[in-house]
Parts: sequence; C-alpha cells; structure tokens
Amino acid sequence: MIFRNFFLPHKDTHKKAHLISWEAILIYILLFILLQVGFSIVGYAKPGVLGISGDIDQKKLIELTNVEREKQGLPPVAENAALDQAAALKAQNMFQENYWAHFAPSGKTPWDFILGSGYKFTYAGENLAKNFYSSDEVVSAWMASTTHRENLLNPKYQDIGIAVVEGVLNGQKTTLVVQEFGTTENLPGQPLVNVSGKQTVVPIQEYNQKPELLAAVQTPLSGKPLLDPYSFSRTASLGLISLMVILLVADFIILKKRGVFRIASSRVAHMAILGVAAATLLNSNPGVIL
Amino acid sequence: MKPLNILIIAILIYLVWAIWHHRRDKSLTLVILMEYILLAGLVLILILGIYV
Repeated sequence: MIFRNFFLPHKDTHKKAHLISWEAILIYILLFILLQVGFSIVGYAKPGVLGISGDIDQKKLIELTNVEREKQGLPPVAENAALDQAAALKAQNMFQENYWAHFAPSGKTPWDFILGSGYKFTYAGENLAKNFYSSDEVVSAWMASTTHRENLLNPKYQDIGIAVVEGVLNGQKTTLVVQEFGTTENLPGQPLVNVSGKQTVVPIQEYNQKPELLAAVQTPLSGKPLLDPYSFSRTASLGLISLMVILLVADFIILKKRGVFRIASSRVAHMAILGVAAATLLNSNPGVIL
Repeated sequence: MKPLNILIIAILIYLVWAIWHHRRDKSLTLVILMEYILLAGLVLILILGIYV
C-alpha cells in the first residue's frame, strides 16, 4: 500500500484517498466510540482523573447577577451569609450523594438547605450550573434560559447566596455552582420556592421544623484533573473534520486536473455536513445549567 | 433551537438529498449509500461525544 494513496486519489485507478474511504470512516466511528467508552471506564475506575476545571469566582457571580438585575431596573440582591452556607451545603450534598438535580435522591429538597442554614424565607429560588470555565459563561447561560432568567430577575428577591465548589461527580472532576435567592419579607400566602420555573409550596410542617444538616466539609482536591475529556474530544473531532475536508478538496482539484470523472458520492454534500458539525463543535460549551 | 436538533435536521436533509440525487443520477450504489450513512453516523458520534 503506497503511503501517498492514504491522502491522494490513486494515480491509475483514480480511487479516492484511503483516509476518506468508507472503510476509514468506519474506523473513525469505532475509534470515537472507543474513546467515549474509555472516558467512562477511567471515570469509574479513577474518579477525578478526568474533568473540567473552571476559574469561577463567587463574588464575580454576585456582581454579574446584580449587573443583569440593574439593567432591568431591579434592585440589587445583597449577599447573605446564611444563603451562602445553604448553597455550600447543597453543593456538598450533590457531591456526597452523586446527583445533578434540585431534589436529592435521599429526598432532601432545596428548602431543606435554606431553612437548615437558618434563613426563614417567604420566597426563595435556586439556580444550578456545572462544567463552566468562567463566571461570565455561567451568568450568560442562566440569562439565555427563560426559567433561570426569570429566577435571576425576580423582583421579590432581596438576598443571594452562592457557592462554587469543586468535587467529583459521576467520576469526573467538576465545579458546581449553586445560586440561592430569597426574601424574608412578609408576603401573602405560604412560603414558596421557585425551582426550574416551577413554584413549589413548602409544606408548613417542614417550614417550621428546621432540618438537621451536616456542616459542609470541604474536601480539598489535589490539583487539576489530568485530562479535560470535553476539550480532548472537541480538538480530536475538529482535527478529523479538518483533515477530511482538506482531503476532499485535494480529491476534487486532482481529479479536475486529470480531467477524470468518477461516479462517487458528492464531495460538496460531505463538506457541507462536516461544516455543520465543525460549526456545532466551535459553538459548543460543556457547561450545563439546571 | 438547540444545536443538537439543528445537526439532526441537517443530517436528515443530507441523507434524503443524497438518495434523491443519486437515484435521479442513476448512480446509487451500495458503497455510495454506505459512505453517506457512515459519514452521517460519524458526525453524530463526534457531536454526541461532547454533548452527552
């Protein structure tokens, strides 16, 4: 097998380069499946080796939240120590019970953490975020989602508490952001909590009974994860797409120069779908909000 | 619309167009069809790798 045939069409048969043949595409598919399986195995066998390490600042998140509120003519929310503690307790519990949700598998509710830290709210709300690289990205993602935006720009809130906690979730190191809002102002009706755009009435017996919560214990994590699976997959994917597009263009130019017509699949269609994939990859972000 | 939904729509258009184009052209062979299907599969796996 001649080396140049991997990259250029065959000089006699005009067969397309090996690296853009269907056999090669099948190998790429298998390799990428293997990569994802490998990430899952490593995450399971060595938790914390893989993950995303963000540079998120708690104070900056509060500042950016207030900037967004002020843009809408709303009063700023003030940092509250009890809500900060509630957010920290919630984040720690998410790592301990290994879940990504507003309600814990053990039955703990968002208001358990808020009431447990001594904040007697009449109206409260919670926003969550994980796998973001910066504070701006977190607030932008919340603002882009209708339900999170409504929570962030709710005029009823007076106080805010935020925790940015690093830990291992589902085998991968991540930075969790928990944002708690609240007000203690007397409002008509029963206490409410706004979660994912849904207002939940807090049962009065739960409201009056302060839940017992263990203090958040910060387990220091040693250094950054060895590999960011998101960046690795993204770079590898973009590299493969670029290689395939270059080879398709080379195939087109060479066959045109040779004056050869070959019955084959459309290079333009292939380049178009690869272009859509590249654009999707370039605009992607590993961050998730809840 | 979410990027993943846009990509799935693009893949469907790509496959439907490929079959329509090659049938009209009378050039639809198993190898050609397989190339389109495999490339669509590859694109989907590359994107799912970062979204899931």
